[in-house]
Amino acid sequence: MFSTSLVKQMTACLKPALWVLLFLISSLSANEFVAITELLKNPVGPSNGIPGDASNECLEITNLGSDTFYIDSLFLFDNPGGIDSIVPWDTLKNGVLSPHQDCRFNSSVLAPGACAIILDPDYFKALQVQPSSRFTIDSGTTILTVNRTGIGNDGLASNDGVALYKGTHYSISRIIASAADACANFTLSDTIRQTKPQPPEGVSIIPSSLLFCPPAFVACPTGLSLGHFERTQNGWLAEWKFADKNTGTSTPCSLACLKSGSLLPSQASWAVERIVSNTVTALAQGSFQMNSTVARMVVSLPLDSAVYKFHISENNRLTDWTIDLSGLWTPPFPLKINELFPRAQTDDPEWFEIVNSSSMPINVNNWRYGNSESSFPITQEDLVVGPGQFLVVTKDKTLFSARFPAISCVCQPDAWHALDNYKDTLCLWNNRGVLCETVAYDYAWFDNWTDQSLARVSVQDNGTSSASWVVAPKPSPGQPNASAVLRATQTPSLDIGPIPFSPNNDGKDDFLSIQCVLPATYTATLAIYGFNVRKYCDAPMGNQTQYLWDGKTGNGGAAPVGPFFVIATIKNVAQTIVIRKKGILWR
Amino acid sequence: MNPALKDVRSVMAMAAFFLVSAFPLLSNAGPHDPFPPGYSMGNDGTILHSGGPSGRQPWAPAGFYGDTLNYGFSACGIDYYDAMDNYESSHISQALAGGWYRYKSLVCKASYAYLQALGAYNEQEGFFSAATTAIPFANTSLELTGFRSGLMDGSKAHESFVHAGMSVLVSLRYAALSLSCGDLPLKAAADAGFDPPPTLTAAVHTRFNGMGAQGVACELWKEGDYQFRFSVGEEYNFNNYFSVCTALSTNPFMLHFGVTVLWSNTSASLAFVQHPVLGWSKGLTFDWAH
Repeated sequence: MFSTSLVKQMTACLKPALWVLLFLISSLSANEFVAITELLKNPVGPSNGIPGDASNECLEITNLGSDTFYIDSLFLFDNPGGIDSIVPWDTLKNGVLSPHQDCRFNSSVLAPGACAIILDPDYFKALQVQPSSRFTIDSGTTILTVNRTGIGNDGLASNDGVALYKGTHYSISRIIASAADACANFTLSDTIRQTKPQPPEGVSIIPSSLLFCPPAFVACPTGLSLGHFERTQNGWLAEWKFADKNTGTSTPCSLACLKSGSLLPSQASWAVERIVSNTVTALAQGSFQMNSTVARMVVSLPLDSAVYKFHISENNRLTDWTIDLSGLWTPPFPLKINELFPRAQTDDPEWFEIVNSSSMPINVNNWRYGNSESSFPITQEDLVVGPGQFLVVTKDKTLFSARFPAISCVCQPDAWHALDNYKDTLCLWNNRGVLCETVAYDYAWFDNWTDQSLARVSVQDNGTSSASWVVAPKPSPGQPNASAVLRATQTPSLDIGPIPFSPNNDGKDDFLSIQCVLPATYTATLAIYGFNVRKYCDAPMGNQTQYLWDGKTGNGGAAPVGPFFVIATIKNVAQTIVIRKKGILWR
Repeated sequence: MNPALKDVRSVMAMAAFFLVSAFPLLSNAGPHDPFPPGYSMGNDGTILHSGGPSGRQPWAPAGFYGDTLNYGFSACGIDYYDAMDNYESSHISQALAGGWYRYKSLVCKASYAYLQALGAYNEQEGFFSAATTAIPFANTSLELTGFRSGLMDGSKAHESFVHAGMSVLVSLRYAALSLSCGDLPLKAAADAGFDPPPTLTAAVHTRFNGMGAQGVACELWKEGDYQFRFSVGEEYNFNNYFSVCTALSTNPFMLHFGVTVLWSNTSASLAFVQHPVLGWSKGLTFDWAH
């Protein structure tokens, strides 16, 4: 009995002492690096509903450091009225989250490299009310919650930021992490703001920059990804930042990287490479110093259209990132408008297609489109278009994706500049406000334009000329224009075959292929004549480049065997060209 | 002449006329060749002299001949249309050769034609015509034509078919009226597209007058709908040795030009036919008679 009470007394004394010791250890840890790696401020559902904003707001934190992080004296706040103590999810007190049995509960530690989700306490109720409102959370994720009825002061507004700190309800010992517009030494009387981005309902934000200040966030490309930090590759996180001023021919680039959940391994090495036409040149390289969490280096990068890559080699495993220089420098006209669809239908929204005709990746963040009357940003988030890749900009991404489900690189600007159905001019400005592309179209240029898209035949030519555009037989958003290959020619041509052809339904050579290739400004009428000089039929090419003749005359009868002639009368405003080809029909 | 015999001949002439007319009206029509070969190429068959080179042509109905010469031979070559934008060195050409023989009131003609296109396709045509001049003012003939066509590489079986025709030439004081019905199938080809549709042709040909000779011709055939073709031509003789001719035809529109040189019973004709789309066809014909 005596010994038991002594142990209890000692335990009562030691317990606070142990907590203080742990607090000191954690506060003194040089390798602590905990980040807010996902934040859902606007969940699916009504703003005060369960499920909805009242229950499904959540926060993901990741221990990127090499030391275990202890969830004690950890607070979250967004403004003076919203200070929450972070506590482990207690299955007895908060309820059993049946869909997340493979997660970790009642745990107050976060192992190096591990993720934790801070859930609203009402999430349990949301699962009771509507089980389908459950999140998808990676197994092994530590589940935490707050000790009040909700996260933040009456929930998180779309422009609310949050900060995690160690301390008490009344004082900050140190800031652990924040999701805010700026780096700042917050005080508990501050209101934290985080205004960009503001993604649609159900989409979280994730950090695009953790290793430099100010922090930056973007909408999560997959909507929601709780339980893992998607920006790490093979456990590595790398970021870079350019100096505000550059020399004109090169720019200093600060690089930073870390290995999630560990110190930088000494056996790993890094390099910055310049790649031009598959020729790789190392601009800088080195190895990492032990006992540091984040490595930082500075490299001078030439401002040219080469592709620059930062790669890390660890145990013969390569991890690389493409360094996006396009925010600082691009070739003169890197992006071209390649296809236009102004004549929208009920279920077919307006769109236009951009192609990166340069050899470097181009980030269209803060690029603008429109004309002299109005212009709007294409996107205000990072969106990189690789060399030769396409980006479709549409008025309504949902409708567009329903119409073209296979096209993935689609962007819906916040504001849409309507394309005129008859004639219009469309321009692109880069992120520095420099006009980079101008195209124009006029219905008078086309004979058969109803509701088709307009395809550019060559991005090398002037996009404001009638010679650059043709009515596309089929829309091809996100893909090369079929007509570009055929109508980029300078001279018209006509090809027919096979010769002889035999329309006798034996499955062999039953059709005559008539392929008429025209420069964009030309139109053609085709007719087929017999040896007896009578016109068998007209070949209605429309906007097609190929017509298949079945060997029948205009009245449906069988065309006579023997020689026949395909006559193409090709016109533009300046001239008329007649191309005549002869063939043999046999049955 | 015995009036009774005269009446009989008149009735026979009328019967022959209506017989020839009735055939094509019951049938479809339309030949493969775009224009007649030989001397007639330059005037599209609008100029016809039963005693001249046009009537002697071995590939024309024997009923169109009405001279006292006993036999003769002709040869013709035609190169069709302009060079085009493919197979520039491969032509579409036709060669014809034939002869005729008259024995009292019976005239027989026979000819052979060979057409090749692009070195890949050929047609052979054998023609035989027999006519009688026993009926006054109305020479009547029957024609028989055998065709054989195919691909020259032998990859497909050749197709053969036989057609018949009838013609009559009614000679009047100032003009002659010709009627013919051709391409009536006796043995049709197995598949559509081989047999040219039957054709009815009616023409009026003036005798030589102070303005030369004139003629008009009409063709009727059925190709889906009934098709009609009209031709009008003129020939002018500068003297007994040299003449020029021209003609215009519709559906399709073509212009015909010809030059003929005559020496005794021998002639040579050079003809050109122009089509606005396909260009010029060229023909050369030699004719000899005794």
